[in-house]
Amino acid sequence: MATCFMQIIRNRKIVDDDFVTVPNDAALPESGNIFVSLERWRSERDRLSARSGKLGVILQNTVDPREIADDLATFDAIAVHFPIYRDGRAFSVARILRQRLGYEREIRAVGNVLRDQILFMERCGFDAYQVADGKSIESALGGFEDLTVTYQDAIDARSVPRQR
Amino acid sequence: MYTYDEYDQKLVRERAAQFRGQVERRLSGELTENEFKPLRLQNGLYLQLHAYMLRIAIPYGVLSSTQMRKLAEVSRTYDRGYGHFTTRQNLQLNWPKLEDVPKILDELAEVEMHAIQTSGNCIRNITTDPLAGVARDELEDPRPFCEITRQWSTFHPEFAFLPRKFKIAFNASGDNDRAAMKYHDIGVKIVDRDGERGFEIWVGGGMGRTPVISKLIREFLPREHLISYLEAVLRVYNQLGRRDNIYKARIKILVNETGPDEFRRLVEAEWEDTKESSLRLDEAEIERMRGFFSAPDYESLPSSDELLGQIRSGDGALARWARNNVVVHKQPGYSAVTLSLKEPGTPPGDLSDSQMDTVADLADTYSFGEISVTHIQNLVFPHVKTSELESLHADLVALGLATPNIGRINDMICCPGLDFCNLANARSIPIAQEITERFEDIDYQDDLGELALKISGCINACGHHHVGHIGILGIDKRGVEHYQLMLGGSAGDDASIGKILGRSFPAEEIVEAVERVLKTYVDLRESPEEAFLQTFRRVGEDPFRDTLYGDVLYADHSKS
Amino acid sequence: MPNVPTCYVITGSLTEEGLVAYLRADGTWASSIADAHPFESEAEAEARLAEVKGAESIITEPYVFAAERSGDTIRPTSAREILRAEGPSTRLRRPDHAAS
Ligand code: SF4
Repeated sequence: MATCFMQIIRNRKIVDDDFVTVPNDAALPESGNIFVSLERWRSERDRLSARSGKLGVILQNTVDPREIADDLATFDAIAVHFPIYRDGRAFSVARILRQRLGYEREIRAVGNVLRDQILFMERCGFDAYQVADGKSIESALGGFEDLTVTYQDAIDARSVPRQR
Repeated sequence: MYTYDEYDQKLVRERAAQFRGQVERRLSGELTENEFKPLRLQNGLYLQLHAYMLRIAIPYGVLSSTQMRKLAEVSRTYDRGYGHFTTRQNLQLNWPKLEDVPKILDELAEVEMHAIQTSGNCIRNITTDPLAGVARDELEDPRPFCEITRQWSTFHPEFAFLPRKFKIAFNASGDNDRAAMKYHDIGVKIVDRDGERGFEIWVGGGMGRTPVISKLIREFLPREHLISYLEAVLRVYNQLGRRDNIYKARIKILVNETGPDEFRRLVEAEWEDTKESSLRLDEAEIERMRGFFSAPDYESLPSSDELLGQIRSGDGALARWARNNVVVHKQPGYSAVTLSLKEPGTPPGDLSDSQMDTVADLADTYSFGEISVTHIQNLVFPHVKTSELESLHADLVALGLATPNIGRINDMICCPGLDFCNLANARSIPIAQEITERFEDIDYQDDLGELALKISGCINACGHHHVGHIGILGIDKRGVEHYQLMLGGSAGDDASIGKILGRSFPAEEIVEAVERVLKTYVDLRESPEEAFLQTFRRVGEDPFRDTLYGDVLYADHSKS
Repeated sequence: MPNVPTCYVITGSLTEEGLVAYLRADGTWASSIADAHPFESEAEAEARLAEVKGAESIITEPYVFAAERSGDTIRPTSAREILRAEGPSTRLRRPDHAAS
């Protein structure tokens, strides 16, 4: 049976998702790239580290990423969950990961990820997006182009005062 | 005033185009109301009781005559020929059609205006003193810092979806706060310490159903750290502010729940990491912003304090207007004039399209084309030659904008209430109209002296009723409009929250109740110089409670 | 006093104009409450409301409210619905008409 990969946006391009998300109660696959919850990482740290394949962890937006600062080097990707697009905590989580803790690999937005917020997500440090179920991924790509002027520095340093 | 460059211009145009696409998706049925609502709210578009309402941003209340003319045109073409100035120094249109809103935004973009962040859980319009730049008591013009803050907060990617809305106000005039700074989520007070210019940072003030006076979180912030510190406060709030209950989501609740000391510790810890980042303001950027707000080309004139004194000492309409509606100016020979939008019988804060046009013309003639909007819902001509006051007065009389009632009981704040607002419990405009007519006698108003009356149509307190010397709050008693009366509030540096003294009144009785309060004050004041608030603070609430609810008779008003 | 029978009316805001509208018997929307269809029971009105909710591009945030009916006249009972039916009660809409 062919594995059907979902599509995601990564670095502003639509690509096949090379990760699968493993629910807490499912067995760990032998190989392949996986996302697991932070709880699972905490309880099965050794087994997870010993696997082949890349490891990603999913953070709820209530987590202070500074608590896992020491583990960051072990993660190939970090997903931050948007329970609903108008809950803005995940923006701060991503920004702290990228800017404060210097995390350089993939930060992925998951959950209620919509076109109209995607540009803000990028400016806070996200570089991959699992667009919400039922929403067009092509349309979401357009969100990067909606606004091109940025007044303030975020993870980027492209604020207008700097360009004037 | 601030002028757009290509970047600012592009930003408002892109925003209008983006909203046009969103409206098209809504009208075609691609977006449901649920999905569309937050998008329209981010462009200041509400659905009110009878129609859509568009809230147009007027950054820190500053308008040019060109912008005012555009507002007139937009009100005439796309609305019903009038607009409503709000306590947030913004303008609301009450009847736009959804399909016209993108056109309105295009028109506004032409004159460097927009409706960005006038709604939604984001950082709202930055507000300040309507006399900024001309007040004798200010340390410096706060508007360059307002503009720096406006730009930083516009489409801030991290703070577009806060737990709740967020309001920032600036005050540069020490104890003479004219911006209700202590009732904002953040109040920034410009201060000097040891010869250095910087800021006091006050956090967690607000009105709404839980009125709170803000707490001093930082006694001195060097000015280059303004943005990095604001960013630290917002990050702490974004992460820790409550999202489980809309009524507990404002930062005032977080500050109260953590306590000011712990809150300060959290902010300072956050700030420690960011203060030396690129958010640090350099002196060149502050100077560049100051350049936009440099003084207009004043004529060099001798001091006009004496002339103003003479005009005021007359006994006609001009003299009274000069006493009540005109204040002295930094620049010799000039005065600042308040245009009263409180003519008896009119809805407070409303201006028609033709009035807007004429106001724009008068601003060009008398005030270097500059106008500012006050949080008390009036307009100001900031730079009028004192020698031209008489002629301006005549023009304003013809326009219905020279009512000499600034600071008087009829100069009230009044929200739209149940006549327009979807959240209202009771009407507020008809009560305001009845009050202005009942107390229309200007001699009586002058005798009452300094008096701030404020009316809200529901607990959301857009009409600032908590901080009125006399506050009126509309409530719903089994489908019937009632009004709660509260006394002793103040929005100034001596901030206090009004007290409810007893049961509410039906609409037919509320104005009578206000009148009884006024009679009691006149009877109890030590001298005509003792203002209402001073008397109330001195004698306490009991005599007022008696007069309102105890049928206790005080001396007849005519005897005092 | 004769008993004023209660009825139920479906209302909402027209999506395009934002203006108040009431559901007619034939499923179209009227701007005047006089043309509204008075439902006899709340259950009946609620059932119809569920159907109306599918037509989001025409009507926004539809809901049911109770009103009094005497003869052909439908009269809302709450201050809110009276104002929606009659428009703002402020005597002067345009401030510059105050002087005249
Ligand atoms: S106070 Fe209430 S009634 Fe008045 S404008 Fe605000 S929400 Fe509406």
